[in-house]
Amino acid sequence: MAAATMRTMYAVLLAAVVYLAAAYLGLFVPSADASFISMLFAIGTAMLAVALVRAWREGRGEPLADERTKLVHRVAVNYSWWLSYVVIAALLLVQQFNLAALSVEGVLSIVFFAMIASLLVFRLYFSAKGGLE
Amino acid sequence: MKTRMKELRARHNLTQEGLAKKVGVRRETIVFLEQGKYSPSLRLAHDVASALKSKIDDVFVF
Repeated sequence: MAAATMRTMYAVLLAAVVYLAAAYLGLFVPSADASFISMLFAIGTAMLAVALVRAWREGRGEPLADERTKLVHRVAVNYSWWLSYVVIAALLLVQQFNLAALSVEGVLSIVFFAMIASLLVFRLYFSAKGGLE
Repeated sequence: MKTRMKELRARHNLTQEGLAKKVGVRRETIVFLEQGKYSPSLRLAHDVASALKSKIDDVFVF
């Protein structure tokens, strides 16, 4: 079996494990946090969606990645890392000058969102641009 | 970068998808190569030229 197909199978299995963990917590652990269970379901759904897209592409005989898409990903990660760095610096200034009351959860959420969102945006941008020097 | 990929592809009755499958890349990569927006690696340039039964110099003008 091709390595890519095996990876897709592992992704589906992992999604199933996450779903089962969420279901177990929801059904058998009354003290489990409802928001944590919802988060597990969301993660499982995202993993399943990614695996299905991969399977669909593999079914069409399309490679999941080639040298251009790998380059796009590397460049996007690079830009995203720098943007996240700037966001963290901005948060530090906000804290330093008491511009807003920042909680630990709030800062972590902002950084988490900035990293993921900027990576996706940069990937879309460089992918549409086509050329990378 | 200029390229004669489109012309050579038509000569060999290959679609963008067919050429992409032959060289093992995604169709969009062929689109960007034909538009001259993406500069391929030496390996990809060699693979494309081989698929079009040409020399690299005949396909790509760097």
